[in-house]
Amino acid sequence: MMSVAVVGQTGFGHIVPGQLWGALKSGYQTIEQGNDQVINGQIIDFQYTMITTLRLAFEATGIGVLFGIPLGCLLGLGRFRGRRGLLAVGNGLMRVPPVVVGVFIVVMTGGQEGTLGRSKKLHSFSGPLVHVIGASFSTPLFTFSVSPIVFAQAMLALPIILTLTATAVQRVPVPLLDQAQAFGARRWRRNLLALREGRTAVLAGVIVAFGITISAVGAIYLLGGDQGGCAANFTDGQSCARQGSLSYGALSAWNGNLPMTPVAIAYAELLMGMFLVTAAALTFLQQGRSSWVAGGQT
Amino acid sequence: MPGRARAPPGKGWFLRYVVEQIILAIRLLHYDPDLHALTGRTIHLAFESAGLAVLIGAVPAYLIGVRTTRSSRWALVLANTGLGLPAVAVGIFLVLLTPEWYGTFTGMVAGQTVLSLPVIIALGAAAIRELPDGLLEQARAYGATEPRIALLALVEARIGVLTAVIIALGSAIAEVGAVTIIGGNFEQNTATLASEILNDVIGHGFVGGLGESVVPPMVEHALVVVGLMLVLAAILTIVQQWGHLQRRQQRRLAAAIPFERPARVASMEQ
Repeated sequence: MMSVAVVGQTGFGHIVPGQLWGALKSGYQTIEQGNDQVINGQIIDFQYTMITTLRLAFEATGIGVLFGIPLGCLLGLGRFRGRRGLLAVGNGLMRVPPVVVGVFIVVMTGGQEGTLGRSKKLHSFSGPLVHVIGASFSTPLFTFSVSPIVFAQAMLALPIILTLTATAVQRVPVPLLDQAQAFGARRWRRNLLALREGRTAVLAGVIVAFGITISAVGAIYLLGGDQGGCAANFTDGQSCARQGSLSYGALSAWNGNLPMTPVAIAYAELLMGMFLVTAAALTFLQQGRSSWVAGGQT
Repeated sequence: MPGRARAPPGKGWFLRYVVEQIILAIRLLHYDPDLHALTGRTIHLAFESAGLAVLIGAVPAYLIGVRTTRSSRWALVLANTGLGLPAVAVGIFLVLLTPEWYGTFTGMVAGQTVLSLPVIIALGAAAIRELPDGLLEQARAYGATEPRIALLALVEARIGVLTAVIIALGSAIAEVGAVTIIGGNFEQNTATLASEILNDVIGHGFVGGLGESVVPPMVEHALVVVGLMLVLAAILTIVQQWGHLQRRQQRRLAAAIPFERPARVASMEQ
């Protein structure tokens, strides 16, 4: 059996396939040993982490879809002043750095026990932002745990979905829509038709947004709260999104020394696997069964 | 004091707080000795990785864009999916693959190149696919060799290709997962602006929470990142508007000419 963490110990400058295989295998073994291992005082629960990562990605992408697709339709098909400018803003926000979103939310919520000392934890909104918008995110509408982390990831997903929806809808030939209108379609039916025609590109936007929400780590890292509080939350059975993200787990499980820790490798393997599975599923959905045979489009 | 919230200060405290943080950050901009090195390294990393990605990805992008076979379609789907490649996992696998790159700038460039390659391929191929039908066939009919046709395609699709390059640059500036893992977060040699924001947090730890001393440096580095991204966005907007203008001009030209004429001959003669 391969030893657990040998990569890099025997020397720099060599690429030894056996070592790579051993490292990957050690990661797999860590996964296989299962949950409730305590490593460096940190409870490892891969199953929980995977479920939370998926939930995080689904919630964030869901929020993005909920707001992004209608707004994208509006921006793509509507006729009003400043539409171009809004589209340019959306384009610019499309690759907004996750760390910047994290910093933004840290400042807006006053930090964890921040300068204003208003928020005890960042796991739930209770900073200045809440006072400004005048409502807590724990109102019944948001009972499904809109943590700042989901909020941050949704801020990453929203511009992508919005802008790609707008461009997709704009590409639908105008005569088609005009014809539909001539046949008596109302405005929203017309928009719906445009969405249906441009569904491949819209779904491409959703896929990209999903990939980003599942793998981006910058915002989560800044918003996750401290490890001790996280562990306490964890044993309480409450959600702890910082541990709940695979990419955060991968980043934090590694202490910065070269023999890569098996836990970090395990997280990386799970992350890659989850990304591949979800991407394949979404691509299958995007391409559809009929066009599956014909091959992809654009 | 956990569990007990202080009474909010007087009127306008929220805006004052935010403005205070930003002013503190702007003051730090002036005093930070590492800022020049950090910014320079970030830009260097972005340009080097995007350039490498263009060098590697131009030919696949052209081939995928031009061919309409099933395999090329699948390659495009694959490249599109690769847009969301998890950076942290890429970093860890790259370190496992080539331990000698760990902690070096070269390794960071390699990781970023892997991450921006799908961007170049997917967006470049999409741009080439959107070229008017018959343009490349026409060039072939005039006797252009394959490299000349590829060059023509890249030049004609320059707006889309430039967009891809700018997005790759932006992702290299913003990305934090691969850089942190491969660079190892050695502050002197391998930190970029974005990963330095993580360093600001790690350096202080979460023990006291993100207090007064941690937030201003974070905001400072975030401000510089935002500035760089804004510059990129401005360039992107200018490039795209330039494309709009060109297309409008061509349309006007075509409308003014009474006899029928291939739309793209003028640009091929250049």
